[in-house]
Amino acid sequence: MFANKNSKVYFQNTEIKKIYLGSNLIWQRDVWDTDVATFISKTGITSDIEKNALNTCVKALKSAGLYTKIKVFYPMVGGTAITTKYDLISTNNNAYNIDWYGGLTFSNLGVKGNGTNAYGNSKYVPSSSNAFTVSIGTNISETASDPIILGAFNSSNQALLMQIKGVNCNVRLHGDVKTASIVSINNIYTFNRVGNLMNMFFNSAKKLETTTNGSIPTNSIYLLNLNLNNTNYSSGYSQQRIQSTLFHESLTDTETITLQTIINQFENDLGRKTW
Amino acid sequence: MNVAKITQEKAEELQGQEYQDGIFFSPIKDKNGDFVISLVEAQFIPIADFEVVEYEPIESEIHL
Repeated sequence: MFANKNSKVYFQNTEIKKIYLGSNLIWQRDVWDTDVATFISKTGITSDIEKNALNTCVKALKSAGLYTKIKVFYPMVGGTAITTKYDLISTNNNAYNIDWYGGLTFSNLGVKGNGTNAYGNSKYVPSSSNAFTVSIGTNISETASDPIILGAFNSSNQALLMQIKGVNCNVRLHGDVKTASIVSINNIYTFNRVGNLMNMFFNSAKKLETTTNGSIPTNSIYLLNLNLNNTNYSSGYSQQRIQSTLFHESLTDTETITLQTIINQFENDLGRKTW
Repeated sequence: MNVAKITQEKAEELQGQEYQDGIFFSPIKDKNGDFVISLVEAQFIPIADFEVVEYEPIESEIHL
């Protein structure tokens, strides 16, 4: 009878928030997480599916102790240039809302590049964050010679970037390029670095753990292209569709798997999980 | 892939301008040194201001 926690139940004109059977609480109306409520207000999204998915996702992140480790979270919902630009972490005060450029395609599935001139500037400089998670919904053959999913580049020894080229996922975090093979581009990816040790997780499986070098870049991260010393990388425009994208502190293996499980559920709730 | 070729003056005019809420024009140079924008963006400028051409990207500058 009270299966939907977001349904409102009234007794005459009074909204009921809890129902007890004797002394046992048998139903309680779910409430919006405050950060989700702020995000909904900023973006103006109206879809109940998206709002409920966000609420479930953020509550799960907080319950798992992961939310405070996330520096920037782009859910990429709502299907417009406006709704997809917002960072959900409200304490950032809109500092990392994305500036979009060029011939992007926006939909409820996320944001798709065009391989020619389309990208986003996150304005996020990863000064204190060594790790990120990105979900990609497409498996498109790229036309650019060096297609970049996201990245910032000062030099080959001071960079943060992810590239998928053929069957290889290439990552600089922050020095040498490290490579793991992929079967299909559409997937959820996490990259962590603690000290000189970095790892890659693809869909809750550790694909690589290795040592690396280099230092954190000082340029802001571009999405679907590379910030090459504050210019665009002409050979780096990707055609893929990015979905949930997060910059976060380096996570333990267990935390990484938990994060990917929560984001997987979020993408599934939105009906756009393709991996 | 086709793109819209524009003049340098038009590229400079479009730089920093929104063509829809929340998204800016992104004129870039092709391998011939001509400025181009995507056909999506070209819908928002007069038809006399562009020519549809095949996109020829600049060769890769850095290889990973």
